[in-house]
Amino acid sequence: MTGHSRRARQWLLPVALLGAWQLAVMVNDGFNVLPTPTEIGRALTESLIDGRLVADAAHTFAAALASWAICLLIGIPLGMALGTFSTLRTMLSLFIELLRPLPAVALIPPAVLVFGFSWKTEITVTVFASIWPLISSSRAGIEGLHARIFETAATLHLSKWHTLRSVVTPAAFSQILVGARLSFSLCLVVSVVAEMVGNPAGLGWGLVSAQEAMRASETFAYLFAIGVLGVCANFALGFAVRRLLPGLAQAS
Amino acid sequence: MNKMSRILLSLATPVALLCLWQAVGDPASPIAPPPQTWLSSAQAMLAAGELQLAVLATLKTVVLSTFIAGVVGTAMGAILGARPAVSEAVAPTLEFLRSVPPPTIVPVAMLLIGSGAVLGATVVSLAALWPILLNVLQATRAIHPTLVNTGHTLRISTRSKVMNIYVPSILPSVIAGLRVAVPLAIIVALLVEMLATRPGVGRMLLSAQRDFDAPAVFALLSTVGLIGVGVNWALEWLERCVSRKLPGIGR
Repeated sequence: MTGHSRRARQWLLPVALLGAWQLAVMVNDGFNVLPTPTEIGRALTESLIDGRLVADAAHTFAAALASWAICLLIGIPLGMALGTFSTLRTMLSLFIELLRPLPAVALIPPAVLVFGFSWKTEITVTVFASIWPLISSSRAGIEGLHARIFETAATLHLSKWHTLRSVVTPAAFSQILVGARLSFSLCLVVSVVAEMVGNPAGLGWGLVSAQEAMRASETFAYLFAIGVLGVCANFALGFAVRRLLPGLAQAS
Repeated sequence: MNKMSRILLSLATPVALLCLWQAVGDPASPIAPPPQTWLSSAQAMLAAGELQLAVLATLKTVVLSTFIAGVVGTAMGAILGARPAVSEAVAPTLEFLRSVPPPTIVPVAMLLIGSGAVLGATVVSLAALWPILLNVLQATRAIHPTLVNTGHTLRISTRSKVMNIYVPSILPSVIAGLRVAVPLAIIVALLVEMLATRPGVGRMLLSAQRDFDAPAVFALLSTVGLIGVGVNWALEWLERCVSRKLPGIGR
């Protein structure tokens, strides 16, 4: 099968689904809440033109990015420390085991108590929910290193700091990158969720307020925009990872 | 370090933090009351019977939806995965649908089906469906043709093919999917309860926050945490059981 016809077949299903949706709503008057794809498209262009959707997307993206930066700053050193010092690992294992399965949504009410309905709530909840993959991948990156790497560094009489900087970090880098990628996708999702309940701003709030105002086509337009943002972010991250580590892309 | 002292050391951190909080926390604090107040608040909610009901309601949604998602996801994943042409054609659509964060379906579903009793089960099973479906799809595609051909050559019955080839190849991926799906199901179930004010821990949590009842918020947060930890352990146990039964297959 040529690449061309495969591409055509991949487009067939979404186009057919959208066509069936359009027809079903147009023919059947019973679906009075369900908007047609063309109505959704109109709502999408309208909110794009008046700038609301762009501003909301920018807020969500900025919140996710800021949370991700905090996750990187805390998660990588903490994970690497956990991978290096077994006493620390023992001390924190149960603590982490208890905190990690805490569902992100449940954290929003206490965060609102402390920070009010603000961006602080959003960022706190997002960081808390998205830091775990980074901690565990940085830890696994160090624990998975062969003992010979450390022995070589010791033979060369490298200082502890030098070993960490030029031997351990590069060796664990690919693992850390996997966690960083996972963490960013989580940041994006959790900030949208935090906006739905905890911080009245951004795409999450836009989605909920469109629904509360019963503006169906706008609700769908926001859902679509969130999906597109997710796909774009995923694509950009995949591209960045491939550029940084050409070997990793083949492995995964 | 022996095992006993390791257990004690791992217990020390959370216990020490809670004790510290208890020691310095102000019981009347509107934002971070000490753990003792959480306990008394939880006791009051248990005595009133509302906490048990809320936990049961949330768990019911999660278990029912996970079951639906497990059955539908496994069936769809296996059917799509067994036909490479079909799975190739649906791949981009699935990829887009998967990248829509499941919690964002909640408002859309509220528009379409209202905030009735069906809402929770529908949205939560939709959210839990993806991890299972995509995992099973991949596992089915990864079954080596030799395995299937060997079955043909040996002329084993269809039942035997399913039991000896398909189930052992797919089951580990169902469990792996569940490990992602169940925590997601808990999140979406709580969110449905918050946004659509359906009975459950999520709604209690939100109304406690609106009443500025900080001890209740922390008591409910701890309850949710315990549910999360319990579910996590149960899934780990399930995974261990399956990998003991099926050594060498899967990964």
